[in-house]
Amino acid sequence: MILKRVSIVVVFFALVNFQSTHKYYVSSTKIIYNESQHSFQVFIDVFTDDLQAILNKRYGKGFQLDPDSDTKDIENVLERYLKTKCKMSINDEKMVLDYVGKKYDRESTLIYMQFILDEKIQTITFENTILTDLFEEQKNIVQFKGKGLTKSYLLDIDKKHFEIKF
Amino acid sequence: MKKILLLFTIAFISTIAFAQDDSLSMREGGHFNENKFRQLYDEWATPNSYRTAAGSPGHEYYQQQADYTMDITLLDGENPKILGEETITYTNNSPDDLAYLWVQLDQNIREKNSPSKEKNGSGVSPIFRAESFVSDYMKDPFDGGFNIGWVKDAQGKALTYNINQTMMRIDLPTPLKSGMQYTFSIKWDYNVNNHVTNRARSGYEYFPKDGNRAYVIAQFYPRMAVYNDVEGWQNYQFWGNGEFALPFGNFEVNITVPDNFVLDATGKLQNRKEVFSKTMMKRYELAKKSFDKPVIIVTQEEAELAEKTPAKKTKTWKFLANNVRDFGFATSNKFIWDMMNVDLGGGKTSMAVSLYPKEGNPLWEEYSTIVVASTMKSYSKHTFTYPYHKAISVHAKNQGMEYPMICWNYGRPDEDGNYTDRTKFGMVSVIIHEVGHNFFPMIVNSDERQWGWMDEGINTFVQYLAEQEFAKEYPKVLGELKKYPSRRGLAKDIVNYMSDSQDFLSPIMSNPENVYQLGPNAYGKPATALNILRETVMGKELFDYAFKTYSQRWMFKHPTPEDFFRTMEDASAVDLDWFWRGWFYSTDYVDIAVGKVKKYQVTDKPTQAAKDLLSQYGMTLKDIKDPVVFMIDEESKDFTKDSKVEDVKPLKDYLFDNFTEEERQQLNTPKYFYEIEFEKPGGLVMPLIVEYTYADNTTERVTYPVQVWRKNDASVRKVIPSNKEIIKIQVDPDLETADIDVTNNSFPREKDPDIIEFEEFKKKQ
Ligand SMILES: [Zn+2]
Repeated sequence: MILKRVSIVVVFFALVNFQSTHKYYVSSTKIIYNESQHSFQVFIDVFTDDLQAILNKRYGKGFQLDPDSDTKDIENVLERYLKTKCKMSINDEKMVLDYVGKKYDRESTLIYMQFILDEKIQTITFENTILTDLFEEQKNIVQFKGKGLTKSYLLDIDKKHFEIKF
Repeated sequence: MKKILLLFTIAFISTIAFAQDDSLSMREGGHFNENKFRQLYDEWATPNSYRTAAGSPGHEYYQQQADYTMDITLLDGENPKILGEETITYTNNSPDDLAYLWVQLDQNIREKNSPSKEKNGSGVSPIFRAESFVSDYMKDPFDGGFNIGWVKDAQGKALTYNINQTMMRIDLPTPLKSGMQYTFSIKWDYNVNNHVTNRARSGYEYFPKDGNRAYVIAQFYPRMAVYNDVEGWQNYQFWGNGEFALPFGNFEVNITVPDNFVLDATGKLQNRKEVFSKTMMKRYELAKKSFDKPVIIVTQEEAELAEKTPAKKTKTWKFLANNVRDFGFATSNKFIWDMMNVDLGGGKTSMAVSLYPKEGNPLWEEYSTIVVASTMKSYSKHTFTYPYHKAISVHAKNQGMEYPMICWNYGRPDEDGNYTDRTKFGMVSVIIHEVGHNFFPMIVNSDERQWGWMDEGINTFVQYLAEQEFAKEYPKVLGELKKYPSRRGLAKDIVNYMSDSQDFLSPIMSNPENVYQLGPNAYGKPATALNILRETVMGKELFDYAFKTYSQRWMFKHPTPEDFFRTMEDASAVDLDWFWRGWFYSTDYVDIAVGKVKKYQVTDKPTQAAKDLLSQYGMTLKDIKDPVVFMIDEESKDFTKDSKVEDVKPLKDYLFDNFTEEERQQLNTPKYFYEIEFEKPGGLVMPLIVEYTYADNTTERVTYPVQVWRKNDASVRKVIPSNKEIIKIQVDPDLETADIDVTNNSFPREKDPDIIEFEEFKKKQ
């Protein structure tokens, strides 16, 4: 058979329907802290079909996420959606990630966001609940790279964020 | 140059002595062999007369056979039902006597009280979609699973049986002797599920607009389990993820459906003239002669008429299939039908066939059948000539599932018939994948219940090749793209998965029920590993020969993972135990880095380092009779900018004493000597691919064999004598090893490619 999406079996997921071909939904996020430029670069790789479905569910119908039919409206609702689903705090202070843009790659949409802060970093908190409002079983894997550290975290509807202390 | 190089390397080799720790105040304990290159004896079963050390079937290899005759009736309607009576003739080719037979009842996974529904842990979610809440807590679960009417022997005498979840034991009155046959019959029925709402591999899709259903039906009858030399009777229940293990056999199947339905299935249609109209027969004859484009057998207009015309009677479609491991069928009054013939070379032909409701158009009429045809050809080239007389692609929403000669595939335009590139490539890819499953596991019949990667991973690997080949044959599919956008296969596409936290990774050699991420685990990683093996480790020629050998050895047989691993080594004379151990038995990843780079010069002045080295052996310079030279590194104060090798006195004497003028002209006189340390933070060993860039911007590509890591898993040093200054060193320049951290791959260090990509993307905004 074919697995359309990355599937993940984890024992603590929320209740889902019984299915014989059990599918779990996964997005993957990379956060790179570029120390010399004091900037955080965030890449989010998410299935375009799922992203399109949630944007249509939340903000009205008819958004077609496709290079041929891209509109400013899509950028706006996507930015709005990301603001509610991706949150970052540095040194316990809430920061707003700047939406830079997105591009399509095969079945995925790659979203680029960034944040600049010229301050000594002591703690980072990152919350990612993308698509948990579409699928209760959605998993979001987040990898942090920077300050000599590479670490990944599995986030979902129960565990929404992680914290790193330096 | 070789001779000179030898002389210089003496100094380098001996520096290793300095690295050794001489403080042996506490004695270290011993250890087992943990070398990455040790043989896989500890993981692999001892070869025997059933399966050889070469990876081929042994001289006593056997496999069981199960032949079926079945009468099936589909009752269409609001609560569809399938009724069946089947007679199984089981041949015991094993050397063992069997006291009982095991039959698989896969539909029982859908029983109200199936334990598979409780296979996962659960918690109360803080948020629920109303839809899920209702179906989880408020609705009656679907009443699925087999109802067994009776089980009888050939004389009509009832047999005792015992059902354990998805498996049924038939107790034999006397043991079935080796070499003997046993015939018995089962009467059964079950309620057919909606595969769209239940996300199942088989069932129906309901079309509310016209009130009709399209059926894609499989694992619908009690099927014999596998008995063999590695598992005995297969005893791993069907829990949903691990797919199927089935013996080969011959099928004679009659299927009765409403008379406005068309139907296609595994096997040769025996009564075509009875079930086809005259027009359909005529078109079918044309299709057999059409090798370049599909011929429509049932047009969209005719299908639209059929979906509006209520059925009056029933019609029985009769099939005969030889040497298949399973049987599936698709039927509806909504199906459009097209076919074309495919020339497979050597006088062999096979029909490419598609069945789809109008909802699949205009995508399906354009692509499905030509993709089927191209897939048959590509796979045949890499394995063996496709042996069946047809391959059918059926369009079913959200499906991607395979059976012998027939498979279901997704890819649906929107209601106005528009579709995105994503839908198109998704559809082409899934058809290639599912048609490809005819080769793995339908013909190279591995045990899917135990090993998902043996069919999914190997198939996804060939799928990658077939996708690229399809785009070459039909460049039109690409639109503005340069190559087919394969989702899995390229090394760089597995990096994300391989660098995930170890908490969510499992080795490929795991049962599909027990892995964290089945997609990358059983599909993406093994496919990529094989692609890397082909492109980077073995080379295409050696790989392709060995891969074909495996496919042909195990065609219509039951291979195990070891049979694959052993054959790939046996047919190529490449020891790959290190590769299988790393990529298939562990969750290690590739990370190779350029470490310290030191520049040296040659001199006749004795250096302190040389004196220290000699004194360790209780010697001084006077003890060495032969002429020697010394290496000084860049940091030393004696290092001079423009020293020439040929001016170093002992070397000059040596050259004049040992070489003629003419020979001396031929010699290389390197100016620079680099000692480069390559580090390996990653657990996987891989060939070390390095690109050196010189001051004049010329480049040189060197691949050091994987064996460089065999005595030091953490780092290895290499000496490069050169006439030109090296200005850049790059490890894995073409990203072909799935190195998970490329920020340490260059000297001098370059910016993180992710950051570069980000900045370039930002500029374009
Ligand atoms: Zn598959």
